[in-house]
Amino acid sequence: MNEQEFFQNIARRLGREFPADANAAAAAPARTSVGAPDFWQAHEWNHQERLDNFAAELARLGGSAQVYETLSALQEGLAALLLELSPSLVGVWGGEFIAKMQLQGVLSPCKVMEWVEQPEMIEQFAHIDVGVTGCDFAIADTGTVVLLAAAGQGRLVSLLPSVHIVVMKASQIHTRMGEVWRDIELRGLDPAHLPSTAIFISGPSRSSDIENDLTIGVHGPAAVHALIWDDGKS
Amino acid sequence: MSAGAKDRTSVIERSHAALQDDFLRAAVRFTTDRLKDRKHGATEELGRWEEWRERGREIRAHTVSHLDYYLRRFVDNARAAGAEIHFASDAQEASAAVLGVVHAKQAQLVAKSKSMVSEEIHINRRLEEQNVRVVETDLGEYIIQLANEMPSHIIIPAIHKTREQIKDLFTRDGGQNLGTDTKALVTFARRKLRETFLTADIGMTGCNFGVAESGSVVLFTNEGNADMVSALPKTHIVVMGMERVLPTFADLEVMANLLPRSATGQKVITYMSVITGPRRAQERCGPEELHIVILDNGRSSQLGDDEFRDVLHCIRCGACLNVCPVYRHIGGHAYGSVYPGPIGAVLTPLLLQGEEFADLPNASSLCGACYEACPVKIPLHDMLVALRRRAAGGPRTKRAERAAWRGYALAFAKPGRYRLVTRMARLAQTPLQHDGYIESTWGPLMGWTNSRHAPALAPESFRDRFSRMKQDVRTIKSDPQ
Ligand code: SF4
Repeated sequence: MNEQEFFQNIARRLGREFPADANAAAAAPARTSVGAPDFWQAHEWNHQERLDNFAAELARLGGSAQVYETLSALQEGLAALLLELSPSLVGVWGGEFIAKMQLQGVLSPCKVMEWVEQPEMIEQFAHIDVGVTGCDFAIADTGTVVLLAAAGQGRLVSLLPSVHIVVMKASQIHTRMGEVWRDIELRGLDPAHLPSTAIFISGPSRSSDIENDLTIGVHGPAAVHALIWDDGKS
Repeated sequence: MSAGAKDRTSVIERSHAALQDDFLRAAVRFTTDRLKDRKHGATEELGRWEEWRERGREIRAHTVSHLDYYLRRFVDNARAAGAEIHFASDAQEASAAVLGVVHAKQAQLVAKSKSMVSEEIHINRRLEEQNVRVVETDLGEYIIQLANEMPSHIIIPAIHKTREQIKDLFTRDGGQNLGTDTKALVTFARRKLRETFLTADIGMTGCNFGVAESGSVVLFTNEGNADMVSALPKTHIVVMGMERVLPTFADLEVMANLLPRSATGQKVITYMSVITGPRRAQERCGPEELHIVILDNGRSSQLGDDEFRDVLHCIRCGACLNVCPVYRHIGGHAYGSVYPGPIGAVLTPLLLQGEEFADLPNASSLCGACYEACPVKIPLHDMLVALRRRAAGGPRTKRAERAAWRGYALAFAKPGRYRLVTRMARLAQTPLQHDGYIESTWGPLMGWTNSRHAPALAPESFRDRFSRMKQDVRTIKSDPQ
C-alpha cells in the first residue's frame, strides 16, 4: 500500500479528515504526563547507594561485580581473573579504551585482538573466549551496563564470547534508566548524534525454554563480570 | 498457519484434542503458575504497581489516539537514520515486501528472532515456498520449528515439549550422543545456531517498540538472539505492527519496567537493544541495510472501533494467558492462532475472518482475571462480551438456536402460554430424567447435558405450589390458637 493511503486510512479511522501535521517543527499532541510516575522520576540514590545497588542487582542476575579503590587495584583484579579463565583468545574494545584504562600491561600475557573497523572483523571475533569492554553508562536499579556503538566499540565484543568482562568507573552508574536517556538526549536526538545501537545488558544470557529449567549462556555470554574502579564520591 | 486453522476445526474440537494430552496440561499449568507467582513477586517488590500500570495505560492510550502523528514521526526519523520503510495493509503485502528484499539480496538463509507479527503474516511458509531457509533462533521457537509445530505460549513457546522429545529433535538435527540434561541440550543449540547467525544472509526480527522521537527500533530478549540477528547478517528486516510506537525514550522506561515483570516476573530483560538505522559508514558490525515493514492487517479497523481500540494498547506480555482459567486448562494450541489466551480470543476474530475463529470469544469464563493482570489495563473481558454480542446478532448462530430463542420469547410472553409450555416440558423430560437430574447425551439440551447435569423440572411448578400454599396459609391463619 502506498504511504499516503496508509496514513490517510489511519487518520480516517481516528475520525480526522487528514493525518495530523507531524513535521519535525510541529507541536507534539498535548499530554498530561510523560514517562515514569513522578515518584520514580524524583528517585535518586547517592554515590555509595548506586554502587552497592548496582553490585547487588548484577549478582542477583547471576553476574558478578567487584569494586576497587584504585585503578591499579582494578588492573590487578583483571590480571587475576584472566589468569583464572586462561582464555586462548581475548577480544577487546579498540580505540582509546586500552590506553585510557591503562590495560596494556595486564593484557600482554594473553593473545589479544582489538576491535578495529575493518572488513574481516566478524570472522576473527567469532573465536574469542573472553570479551573485555568498557561501558558508557550503568544503571544501579537493575544491574545494567549500557554500551553504545561507536568507532572501536564493536558490539560483538560483548556478545560473541562466553565471558564478558566490563571495566568501568563508579561515576558511570546512574540510579535509573530515565537518567541514561536524559544523558543520551543531551547529545541530540537526531540520528547524526544517536549511536546505531545502544544495548542494555543485564547479566548473562538466559533461557527457561527447556522444561522451565533456567540456563545461562544460550546465545550471549554465560558470565558477566563487572570490575568497577571507584573513582570518587560524587 | 496453525494446524487448527488448516483443518477448520472449532475451538471446542481443538480443546478436546488438548485435553487428551496430559503432559501438555500439566506443563501449561506448571508454567503459568510459575510465571504468575513470579510476576506477583516482581510487582510486589517494585511497589506502587497500580501507578506504573496506570502510567502504562496512559502512554499507550495517548499514542494510539494520535497514531497518525507518532507513526509519522517514527517513519521520518527512521528514514533520516538510513532505514528503508515499507507499508503493508495486510499479510499478503507484508510478505511481498519481505520477499522483495530477500530476492534483491539473493538470500538463501534467513535467521529469525522470535516475533509474533511475523507469525501473523506466515512469513516462514512464504519463504520456504521460495526455497529460502528460515531458522528460528529463540531456543523455544527453534525446538518448535524442528518439531514442525505451533508455539503454545507467547513467552515460552515450547512449554509442551519434554526434554526427551527435545533430545530426539536435536539428534535428528545433527546432535551426537546428546544427554537429556539442560546444559547438554543448550550447548548443542548454541553451537548449531551460532553457525546460523554467522552464515545467514538476512536477519529478521519483530519490534517490541518503535520510538517516535528518534526512529529507533527496540528489541527485548533474554537469550541475546535478537542482537545476533541484527548485528551479524548484512541485511536486517524488521516487521512491526503499526501500533508498536511510543512517543519518547522516557516512555520506554515505563515499558521496560512493565513488560519483563508482567511476562516472566523478571525485574529487567537481559538484553534491550535500541537500533537507530543501519550501521554507520565507519562501523563494522550491524547491517548495511535496515528495512522496516509496517503492518496494518486489520489494526486500522480496530482503531476506528470504540469498543475495541484499546486492544491496540497490548504489549504482548502474555500475563493474561497465565491467569486465564480457560487457557490454563486447554493450552495455547486450542486457540488455533498465533495469539492464544484472552488476548487471542479478542484479537484473532478481529484480525482473521473465518468460521474457525468465530467461536473464540466463547473460550473465556469472563472472570476478569485477564484485566487485573494486564499491565496496560486492557478491559479484555468487556471486549469478549462485546464480541459475543456481535456474534449473537450476526449470522453465526445456528438456525436451530435462533428458533429456540424465538420459541422462548413466545413462551415467556404470556402467563398462559408459559404454563402450557412448562407442563409440556415436564412430560417431555420423563425419558431423560434420573434422580431429579437430566444427564443425557442426546435430546434438545445435549450441548449442556453432555458434560454436566441439568436439574430436571420439579414435578410441580412454583406457581402451582404457590396457589396451593396460599390456601394452606389461609387455613392456618384461621386456626384459633
Ligand atoms: S492484553 Fe495485556 S496482559 Fe494480555 S498480552 Fe496484551 S498487554 Fe499482556
